[in-house]
Amino acid sequence: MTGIGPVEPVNSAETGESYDVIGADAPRLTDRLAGRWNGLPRRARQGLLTATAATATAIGALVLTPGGDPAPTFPPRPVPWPANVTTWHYSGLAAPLNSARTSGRYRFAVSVDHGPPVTLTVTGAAFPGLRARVVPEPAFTVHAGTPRRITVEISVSNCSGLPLNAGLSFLDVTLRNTRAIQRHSFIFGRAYSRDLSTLLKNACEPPTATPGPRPTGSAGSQHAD
Amino acid sequence: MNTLPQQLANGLLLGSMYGLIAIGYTMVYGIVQLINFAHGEIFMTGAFGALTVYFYILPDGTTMVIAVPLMLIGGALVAILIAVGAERFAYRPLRGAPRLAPLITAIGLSLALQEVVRNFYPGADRARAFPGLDTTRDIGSVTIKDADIFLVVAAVVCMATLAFFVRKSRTGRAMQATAQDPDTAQLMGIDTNRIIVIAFAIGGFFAAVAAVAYGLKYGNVDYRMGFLMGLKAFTAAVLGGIGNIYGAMLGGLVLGVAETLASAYIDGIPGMQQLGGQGWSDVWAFVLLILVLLLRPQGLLGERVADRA
Amino acid sequence: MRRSLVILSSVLATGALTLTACGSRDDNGGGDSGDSGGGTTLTIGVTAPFTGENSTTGLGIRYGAQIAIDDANKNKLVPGVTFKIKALDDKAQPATGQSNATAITGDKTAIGAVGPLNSGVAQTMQQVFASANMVQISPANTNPELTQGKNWQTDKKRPYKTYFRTATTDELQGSFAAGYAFNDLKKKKVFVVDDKQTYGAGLAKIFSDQFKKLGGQVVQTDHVNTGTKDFGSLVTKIKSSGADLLYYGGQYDESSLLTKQMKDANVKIPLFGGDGMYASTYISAAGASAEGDLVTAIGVPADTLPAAKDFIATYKSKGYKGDYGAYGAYAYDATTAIIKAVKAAVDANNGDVPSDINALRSSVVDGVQKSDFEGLTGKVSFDQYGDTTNKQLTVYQVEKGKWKAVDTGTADLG
Repeated sequence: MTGIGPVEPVNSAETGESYDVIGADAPRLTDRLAGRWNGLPRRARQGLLTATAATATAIGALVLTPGGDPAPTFPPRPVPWPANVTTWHYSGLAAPLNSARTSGRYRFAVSVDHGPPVTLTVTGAAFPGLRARVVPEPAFTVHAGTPRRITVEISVSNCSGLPLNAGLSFLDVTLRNTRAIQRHSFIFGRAYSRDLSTLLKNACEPPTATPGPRPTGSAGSQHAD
Repeated sequence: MNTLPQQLANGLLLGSMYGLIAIGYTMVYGIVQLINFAHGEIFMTGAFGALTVYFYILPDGTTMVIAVPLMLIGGALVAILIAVGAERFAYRPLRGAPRLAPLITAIGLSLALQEVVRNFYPGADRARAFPGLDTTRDIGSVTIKDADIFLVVAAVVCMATLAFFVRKSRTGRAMQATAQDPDTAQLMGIDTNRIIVIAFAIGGFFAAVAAVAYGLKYGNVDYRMGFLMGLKAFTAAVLGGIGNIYGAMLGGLVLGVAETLASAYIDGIPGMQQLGGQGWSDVWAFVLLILVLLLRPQGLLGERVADRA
Repeated sequence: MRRSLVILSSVLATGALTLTACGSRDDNGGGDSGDSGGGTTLTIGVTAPFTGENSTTGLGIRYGAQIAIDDANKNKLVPGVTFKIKALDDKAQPATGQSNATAITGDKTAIGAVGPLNSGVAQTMQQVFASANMVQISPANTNPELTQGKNWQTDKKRPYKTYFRTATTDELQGSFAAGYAFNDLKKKKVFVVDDKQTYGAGLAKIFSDQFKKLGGQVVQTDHVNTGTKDFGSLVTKIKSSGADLLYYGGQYDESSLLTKQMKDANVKIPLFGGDGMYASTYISAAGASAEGDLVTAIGVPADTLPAAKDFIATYKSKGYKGDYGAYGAYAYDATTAIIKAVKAAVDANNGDVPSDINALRSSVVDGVQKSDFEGLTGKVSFDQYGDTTNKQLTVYQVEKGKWKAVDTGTADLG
């Protein structure tokens, strides 16, 4: 019973302590930097250290020089968590669903209300037997105020365990901005569920006169508990 | 999986708790013909007395083997104090009054006790954690926890002691005499006031034992816990024949088993799905009560007693 | 005489079983709302359970509204108007809720109400507020019928134009929970229990329907009474049913006992519930048994809302009781929506407070319908049914004695 990504901003509502464990990008970045740092030759490291120290001293001297009015520091406007500013809207099928196909293309409008740009990746379509990705590029960035239209290709990789008629289907999306990386589900209403059901029925319903390329057990075919 | 043994065990455990509380109703009724509706709240204060001992008196980390007896003592002290205080200050002044007056007083006292605990005991307005005895044991196909064992042992020991006390001791015989005819008993030199106080105290003690068992079993207590348990225990006392201490225990066990079995099996009977399940268990318990009262108005072990008044 | 007393008492006992102590307690003021520096004083009613069952989350609503009112007074959001709270305890009882609604509409300075917590309580209040043409915004009700009518599945029809909510509905919540249980937890056999209340039974049914649609199996269902303490018989049934998940539609008061008794009987399956269980008391009452249990709750974690930081800080620094996590920020936004609607009405009246309270109430209803502002929980606006357009949900799981967010979702049902 996992299926739980490590990246959600998790805070207990209880204590309200805002330890930005997950959300913040920083840990990953520093990990990567640390890796590189350790990979550097000793001399290069020393050089870098010296350079950093020199720069820090210079900046410190500048800032601390009396007389110069330090630049007024505005409290930075809080950067929102990406899932709280991103909206998805289902706008319809990109192309009519072919009864012999096991994949379909769905169009969505994605917008960001405010804050820094959000980079999104679609990671799944709720069910283990479905694969979803944005075409042509799996990752895309949306800037605040400029909605973006995208196409998601959903393909059936395994029919077992797929409901043919499920309402309120959703897409699993990973969102990131300068504040955090979040995994989030975007849930859509009847129109999307209907169109998704059509795809599932085409791909999985047994009495298909022209058996399309029926997917055979690939990823996720082991459907045990 | 045959669930019957487990369900019977569930019912008997619940019933033992009802029975322990029912003793308080039945003893008081047997001696002064008063239905002490505040008894459920005496049970509740007993639980808070025990909780106080555990959280505020005992040092942290006391093992349960030591803590439980001390909690019993603490709970019993509080419950007995309140039961006896209620008798002295609420019921005794109304001894000669019409029967409805003490009954209404009892209901008022019960609300008052609830509100006092809710307002003045820290954290009592919602479920407060109570130390549990949660180790489970499998006996055949029945799973029970240590708290259940405590409950059964406590119920058996308390009942046996009470039976012995009432039958053999001087005070016990005086109680029987007072129950039969308080005026004559008084003429014979029995201090009836003392006997009545003792009846209340015994009721309070049994309620405290049940309260500690309740806390250990369910893991938390709150200021409303006495309401439903008190009503069920009163039902058990009536079912078994109010005034009879064995009847109280028997009534509790019958009620507990009936409730549990009804909730477990009635929805399995074809056509009865709508009337089964946990939500209907109270209904079936009261159907049973009505049936028993129709067929045997004096209760299962009650005696036909001519009205005295 | 003696027999009749016993019978009378039995009748009393039976009757009392169905009634718990009723009555309401006025709890006016509190906070810093005492400084009415001239001008008009307008009252915003708050009704939720403050004592007994559900009080942990109910108090979160009360103080969420309190902070919104204090902020509005401090910032002089509506010049010339001081807002005052009238907080009434509904004890999660429909009858008490109705009399609270009557008390609020009867107050000649009242312009709106925030609450209640329980959908069943809301049902009895809607008519009262509709007759008085007074706006009511619930931060917590999730039953779909309240905004979309009895036949919400087939024919949505708004029953009362004065009723709004900042919480999303159980249609979404139950379905999201079913999806999470089936796809993420990989549970296939569920035992469903509800508490027969409007909220709990409705949620459990939506969950069951969706879980079956997804291909899962509902092995058995049962119902409990609120106030029940002993679930021994139910636990044995769950054990023998072979279910791998218990879904509970109801409040934390019963489910915390149920999960404890279940785990104590060595039935080690998680309990999954709705927003009614998302409270610190669930964990404190069930102790270690709560570990691994899940809930869906409305909204996203309050701590991922930067705008809510001040709110949380204020809530803590004032030492308010209860739990702001579930609905506190929503109560704040609901209260702010009413205050902003008052401001719109005052602005439209050349900066004067309309003297006719009924006219003011009616324009506040219109103003709330047109709400569109950035609240603590995100954008606050309402659709044609009075439902929030901000439909977010979070799945929380108990981990090391704390609720931890494990999944979040946003719905666009258009």
